[in-house]
Amino acid sequence: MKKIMVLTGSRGEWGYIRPIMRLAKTRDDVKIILVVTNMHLLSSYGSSYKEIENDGFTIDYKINMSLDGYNHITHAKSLGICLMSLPDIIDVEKPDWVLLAGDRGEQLMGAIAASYTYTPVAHIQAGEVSGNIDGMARHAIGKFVHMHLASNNDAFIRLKKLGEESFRIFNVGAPQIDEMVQSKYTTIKELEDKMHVDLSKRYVISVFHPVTEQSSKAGTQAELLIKCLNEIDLQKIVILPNNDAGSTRVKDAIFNNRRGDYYIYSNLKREDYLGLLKNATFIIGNSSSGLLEAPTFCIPSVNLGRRQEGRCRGVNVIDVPFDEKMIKEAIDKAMSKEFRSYLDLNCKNPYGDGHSSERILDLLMNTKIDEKWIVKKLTY
Amino acid sequence: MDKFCINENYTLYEAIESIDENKSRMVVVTNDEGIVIGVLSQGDIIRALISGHTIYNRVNELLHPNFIYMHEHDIKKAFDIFKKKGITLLPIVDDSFCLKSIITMKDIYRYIENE
Repeated sequence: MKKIMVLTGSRGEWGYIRPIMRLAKTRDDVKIILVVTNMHLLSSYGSSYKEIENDGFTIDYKINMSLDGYNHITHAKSLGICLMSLPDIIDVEKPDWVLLAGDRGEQLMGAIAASYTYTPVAHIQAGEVSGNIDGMARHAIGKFVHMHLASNNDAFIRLKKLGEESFRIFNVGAPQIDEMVQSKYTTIKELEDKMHVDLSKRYVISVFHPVTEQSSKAGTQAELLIKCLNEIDLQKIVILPNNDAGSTRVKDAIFNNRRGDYYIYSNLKREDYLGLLKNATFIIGNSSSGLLEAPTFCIPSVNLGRRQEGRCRGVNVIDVPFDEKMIKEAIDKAMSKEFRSYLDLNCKNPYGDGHSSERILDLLMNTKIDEKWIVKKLTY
Repeated sequence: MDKFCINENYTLYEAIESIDENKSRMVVVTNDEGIVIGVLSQGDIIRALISGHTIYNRVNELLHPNFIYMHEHDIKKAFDIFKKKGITLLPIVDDSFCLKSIITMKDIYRYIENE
């Protein structure tokens, strides 16, 4: 029996971890120790630890770490509280592995606690590029962990270049793709009954989120998007953004500028969304779905602006800035038969084939820990 | 048409008043530009109250943007939709989603009688 300690502090990385937890549940040679902290435990962020429990998992430890104030000072100080609590749990549980994911501060604390206690530690979604302080945390985590679980080749190569030893780095794909590949999609027939959209006609899906640093521009950006959509002869299925800064401007821009056949949703069930995506003519906006999910179905994705900058992408993604002429050209390309048949032949999801969790769990279960693993050498 | 239609800044209380008056079990919600942005049904209001909202919450926090609409006034088509979807109001909007007219249950009953 091996013990794997998992740390989660927000909904983001829980999406990477959940498929692995599900898989572990089906095996009797592994026990997961689930440590839940930070945003999951805050009512102002929706007490998402309840969702974890509703998914059927038992939380072994809760670390309340967040100091009130939510500014840079309390953020940094809160991380200290998280770090103070983790070694005691490691001491009691003595896990065979600590499994971390993503780029948040509490994951970095997990990396420090594990490496300083000489506990083997592995990192999902290693080696990628992400913005601001999180991007720094991701690569700091990389320096502390013993095993890197990269989700794509780009990240794999970056880790090597950063001086990590080759035997520690694995390109396993992104585990959040697993649930998508395994999940059932709602059929077009069921969707038509539910949504009152004639899905036998062609349609485009638009998902546009305001970018935090550009929230004041979000309204004009969304207006431009809707203006371009108005000119194409497809039905439009629009999914509204979450309540981040700038989201009201985006909503107003959509409501006030749409012309013709628009169907607007504030949220869709995952299996409904995937059923729609699978049959869409193309997807437009700045959602990660265009990079992570659309390539599995060979769906063209027109990606606007900088929200997904630096992320690995497949051949289905057409990147454009907020420029009317360029967006229209990109839409023409996305709708063309040539591009579609090119994708049918050449499009692969760079984030994997839906079997990442199996690879990750196999690696953790089958790797024999010895001095070579625990004592790190930097190759550069 | 006024009694079938409220502004998105109305409270649930005002929505209930409007539904009480129009006897159609739902209202159409428009924004300040007069553009239809959703509908709100009696059921939506009950669900909202059960989940902790109060009658002083604004309707724009609760309405469904994915409402059923038609661009042309086609009573035969509307009849099919009423039958299939169990709705009680159907807004007819122009190309930019400004409200043109509303088909009610009354209109549907009249259509059935004449058929």
